[in-house]
Amino acid sequence: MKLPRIDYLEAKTLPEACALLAQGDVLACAGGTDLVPSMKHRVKAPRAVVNLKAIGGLDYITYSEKDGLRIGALATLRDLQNNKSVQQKYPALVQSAAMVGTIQLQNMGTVAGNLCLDTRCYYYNQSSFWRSARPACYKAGGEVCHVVKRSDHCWACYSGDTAPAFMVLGAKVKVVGSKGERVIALKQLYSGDGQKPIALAADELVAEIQVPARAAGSGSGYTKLRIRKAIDFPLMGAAVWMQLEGKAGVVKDIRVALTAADSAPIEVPGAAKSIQGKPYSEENLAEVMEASYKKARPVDCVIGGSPPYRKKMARVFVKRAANLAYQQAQAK
Amino acid sequence: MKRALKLTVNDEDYEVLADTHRTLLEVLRDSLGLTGSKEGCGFGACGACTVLLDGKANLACLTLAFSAQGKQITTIEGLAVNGKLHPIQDAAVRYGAIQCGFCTPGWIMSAKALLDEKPKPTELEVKTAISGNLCRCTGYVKIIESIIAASEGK
Repeated sequence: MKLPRIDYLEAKTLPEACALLAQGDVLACAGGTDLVPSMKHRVKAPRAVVNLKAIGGLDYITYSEKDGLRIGALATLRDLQNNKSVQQKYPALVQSAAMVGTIQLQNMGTVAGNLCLDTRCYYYNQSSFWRSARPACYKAGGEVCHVVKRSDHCWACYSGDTAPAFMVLGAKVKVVGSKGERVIALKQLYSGDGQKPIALAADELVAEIQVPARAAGSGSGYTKLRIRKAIDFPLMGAAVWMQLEGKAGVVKDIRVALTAADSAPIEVPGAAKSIQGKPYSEENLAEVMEASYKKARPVDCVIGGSPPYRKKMARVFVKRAANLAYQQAQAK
Repeated sequence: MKRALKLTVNDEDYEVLADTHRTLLEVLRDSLGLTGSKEGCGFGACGACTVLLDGKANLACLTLAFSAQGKQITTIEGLAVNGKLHPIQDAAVRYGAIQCGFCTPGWIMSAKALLDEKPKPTELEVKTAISGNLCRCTGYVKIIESIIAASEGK
């Protein structure tokens, strides 16, 4: 399928990119793996795109005990997996990046771009011809949601894999815009609105991702439900971070986040209370699994599983991710 | 809007006039006549358009042609040297890993990226490397066998 007529712009620095974005009706393109299909489907048709990949020196991944992990905006999902520090300290990041699409998409797509993934819905991610059979939905500029009838907003599903992993690790993102820069908790990057899921102004970009240094006795894991072992977006994905203390492996703290469960990656609130101070076991995890089940609210907007099934799978995949996190936490 | 586009494909420099909204796949096929890379889905799922950019497997159907300037692009046409097939191509023929042939250029490029990085991959690594290349004919078994054979020089 052909792309719509768009102009191609290139930025050599971040301020230059922000200035071009500020002109209006211009979209940022790094890997292009999310944007280009959307443009082919004509759900996005900007006047121009700015190729960010021409900006030099932004593909770094560094780790130090003092500053933790710093990931530049143009580091790819493949770079993240292949980084030795990330492999040793943050298995959830490796696991989640390795589950994004395919090797080709991981080579092209950036980590920052994956965090900024647009929400998806099978009434939206379709060709204009296919969509012309129905009135346009909220996300495509219309006045209706085809998934949740009579809803007053869009319910498209957030389907990024790395976001919940970064979230449980306590990540922050550095956002730059033409008016300056700010550092926000990753959670604040998401509006929760399916129609405009990423809470950035038109001239703003994620410039860096910051993850705190790995705490002693902590571990992380990510896993997801999908039909095929490659290519597919998650039908339900779970990331768990936990910290153990003492020889008996008592849980000191635990954080759980889900993807494909709502219009934003969501943290499960109060997950720690029920298991804090108890040794890690699947029995002691039961309430955390139950809280995750209650928090997930998948709707019928992606192909592969019914919403009740996907909701039930929140329990299972939180358990599996927690087992992965426990493996790392108790190893040292 | 047409602009001058400079690409380096298979160690040869090309300069063509191209619209700014063309994908790398369109330019390779329609402007340069390199029709080895195929358009399957056009949306980044099937891998039929896989080419190497600076040695890494990329999808030409999702790459804006202008963003590939300054990179070393390798397509299936660049593998054979003086009419002699690349070992992966040769093994593909001998093991019957080609049926209709539409996915073949894509997975061979994925396999080349893998073997360049890891000359002796395990079966799982081969499967992972070509997991982004859909084939509806072979059932993958012969593809995997042929890549392993190529890595072992058989």
